Amino acid sequence: MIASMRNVVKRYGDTMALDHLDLNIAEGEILGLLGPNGAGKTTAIRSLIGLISIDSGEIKVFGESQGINNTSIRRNMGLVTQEITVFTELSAIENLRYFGGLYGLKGADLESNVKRVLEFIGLTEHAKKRPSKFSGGMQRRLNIGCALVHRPKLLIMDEPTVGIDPQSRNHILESVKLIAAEGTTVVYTTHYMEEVQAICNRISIMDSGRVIAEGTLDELIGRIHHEDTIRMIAASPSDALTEDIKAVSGVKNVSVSGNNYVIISGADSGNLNRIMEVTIKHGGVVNITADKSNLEDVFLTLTGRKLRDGGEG
Amino acid sequence: MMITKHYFKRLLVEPIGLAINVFFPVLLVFINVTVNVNAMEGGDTLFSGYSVTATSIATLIMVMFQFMYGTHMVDLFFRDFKNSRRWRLLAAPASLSKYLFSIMMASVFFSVLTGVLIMAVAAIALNAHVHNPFVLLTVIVIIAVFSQVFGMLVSLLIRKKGVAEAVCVLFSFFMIVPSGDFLVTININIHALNVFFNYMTPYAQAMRAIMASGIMGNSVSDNFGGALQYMGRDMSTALLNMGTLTATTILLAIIVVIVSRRRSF
Repeated sequence: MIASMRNVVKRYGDTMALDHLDLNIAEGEILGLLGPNGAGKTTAIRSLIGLISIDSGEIKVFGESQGINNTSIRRNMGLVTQEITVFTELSAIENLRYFGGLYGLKGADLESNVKRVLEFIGLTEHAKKRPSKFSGGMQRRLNIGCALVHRPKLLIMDEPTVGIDPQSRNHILESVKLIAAEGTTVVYTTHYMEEVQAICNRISIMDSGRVIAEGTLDELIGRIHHEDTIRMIAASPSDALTEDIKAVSGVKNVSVSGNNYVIISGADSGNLNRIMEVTIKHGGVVNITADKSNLEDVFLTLTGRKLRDGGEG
Repeated sequence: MMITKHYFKRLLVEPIGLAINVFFPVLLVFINVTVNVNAMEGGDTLFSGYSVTATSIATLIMVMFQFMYGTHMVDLFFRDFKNSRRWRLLAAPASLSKYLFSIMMASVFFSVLTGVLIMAVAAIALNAHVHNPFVLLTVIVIIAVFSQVFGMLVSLLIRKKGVAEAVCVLFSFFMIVPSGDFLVTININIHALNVFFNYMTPYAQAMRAIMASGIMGNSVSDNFGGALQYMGRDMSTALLNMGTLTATTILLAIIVVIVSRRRSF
């Protein structure tokens, strides 16, 4: 375990930002911290880094107790902020040198790490340009790069893909995998389930200041009882086809509109293939898809609310 | 030291900042001296071969701008610690006090260089006298520290950056204008206020220290006698005012420490 948070409480006035939060971070993993806005993700990571004090509980990082005055722990931690916080009046390379210097790198060691990070984030050719000349995606990459110069053991990424185009987002997600492959433990906070599904080994779902569920993606989805929705376009729709589909074990409901069939089936019933076989016997399948349960469904089941913006479900 | 260098570099690379803080006061000195000399019957007054007009005006404008340079502290503090960048910087193994001290050192160094530059240009191009160099440099350093401490206090108390910067600039004006040394001659008939603006403000202490150490003595208008009085070289007056200015700076620093412990930001 590289870090742990036990029974952590943090209040802002009457608001309970962290409500007896328990969180474990295993070494080498990419831990996804998923939750809607206001769930406490940012408060959790700020207390983990030691940027804010907690009211009670225990936080340990690298085996030491974390606190706001423990600057030594921070030498091996990195933070990628949600907002772009690089210095726009300095060039990309000057930014990297400064942040490397803040973490104790000097001389040839600093220069070699700066060069390495410039290559990693794909900004070698733009090293002497100021971030004000960069696209949004390039600025995001520099924002990440500044947290990597000192080779942190634990990297915290606070919603690093907010407001960028899909191509840049994918580039960042791939970069996170590479960072983890080099041995850095990553805590990745987001409210986009697609991101945690794409890159995280383990996911902790937060809401109202506490972890409400955690595990791998399969473990989390397996916890909820949900239905699969199968959508099919049949080549030759008929009443006989409809009756045969209804007769398949586990099928709960069939609704037909022209060639379009929407079939509700029990989760993991394996009925997709059975329904295809039945439909092929009745003239063939034009198109068939199955909507699997996802983290949105997990959150909805656990809280009664949607994951996006914490709105009512 | 690395952090101090970083902040000094950021002060140097801002073209608008350089224009306002360095080139503008130099330009102001040139314009003021030229206008004033041209308006004088018989031309400029020389004292021991030096231009009285250029010496007075260069010193006044240099001191005036030095007291405004708390804006450096305000600018850097707000840009780094009043937004999300604060979290990134504090996530590094450096304390907030280390950053603030570095901003102060960089700003003091920048301010001192600017003050020396103004006086050097005035001495070379306009035949101004630089007074006692030791006193001049020491007073410039003390004012620079005072201004950064004042800027820190303002940053702690005021939420908006623009307002905080305006306070730093207006603070300088509100010390200088009532003294009658700049823009208008003001006759203050209230004795206590007259004494305050002509003897007790940090501006008055700085000007008395510098001018008393040089060939011209104290140039602050003396409303009691109603006439400009030259005291000549007077190191005891210079040292006394340097001492009171230093004490004022230390007192302000203590206030800042007290306020910072009561405020979260």
